[in-house]
Amino acid sequence: MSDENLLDLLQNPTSRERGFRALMEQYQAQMYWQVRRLVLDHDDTDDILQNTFIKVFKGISKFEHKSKLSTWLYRIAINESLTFLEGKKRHVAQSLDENAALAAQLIADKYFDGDAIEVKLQQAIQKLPDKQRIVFNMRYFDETPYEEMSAILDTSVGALKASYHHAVKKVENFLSEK
Amino acid sequence: MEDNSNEALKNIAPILSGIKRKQNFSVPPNYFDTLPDIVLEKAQNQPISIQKQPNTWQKIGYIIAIAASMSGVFFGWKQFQPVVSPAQPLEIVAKTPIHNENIAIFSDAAIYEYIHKNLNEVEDAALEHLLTEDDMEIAYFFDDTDITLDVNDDSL
Repeated sequence: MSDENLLDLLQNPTSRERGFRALMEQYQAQMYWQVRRLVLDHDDTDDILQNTFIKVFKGISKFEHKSKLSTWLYRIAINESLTFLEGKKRHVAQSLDENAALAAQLIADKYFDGDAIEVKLQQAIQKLPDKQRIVFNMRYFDETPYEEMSAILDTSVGALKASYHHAVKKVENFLSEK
Repeated sequence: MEDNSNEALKNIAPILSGIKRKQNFSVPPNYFDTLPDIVLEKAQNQPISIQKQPNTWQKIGYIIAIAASMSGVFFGWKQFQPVVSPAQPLEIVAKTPIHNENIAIFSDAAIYEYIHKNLNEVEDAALEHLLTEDDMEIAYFFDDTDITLDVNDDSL
């Protein structure tokens, strides 16, 4: 369903619920994976995604087509994720060995089935600063065009390219360590 | 340029480029089937919190303050704006004070090569300022998209 059709349904009170279900069916999976790669844990991702869609439901009548619907949705999801990560940093004591803790968490996670190198890749990604991690995930895993990332993250294409390439070097350096 | 980028990835990050990009995470069975019902139930049972709108005098005050700030920024920018052209090497552009816009004129491969050779010089802080906290603030986002919700309301 096109964004125009979705918005028509969402902005009409009689079809709002139907439109919202259609919107979720269309976007929930891609938004879920974007958030999941940032926070890793399914339950945390679920909380963030629910908050995101509740805000979308309440705010959709004010959407003014200043951006694509998908851009708007991603921005809310990313803001929610960053807020969550900031809160987690404040409230959770930092582990002495964060790499070991993350590896143990992933190995114990029944919703993760990566091998040793994939665990190490996740460790490397988690060591990136939050915003650089967003850039890396969008570009490396989803191959999101820089122009689209620029609209979502409200950051220049040049800055995104520099950030991504710097992240690649840091990940590679981590992977090459014994 | 995208092909160049993939080729550059192989050269700069051979271990990373050798890892197959597959989905290692999964979700509980039927998760996506049940999520819309859960969200709709919560959304419809929570009250909408409306942020107080500024009155006319507050709006006028904001406009004056913004105009004054913009004037200061404009004249300051004109005073210190570096001159950059595609003819200049990336090494020069990267060292100019305002380089995030300037970098966009170079190819992925050129940026890749520069960072590869100068990783120690390109500190995190130098890149981090390009993605400032302000870019991602929820308050900024909601102002920007004209949603009138109280983002500090925990019930949201």
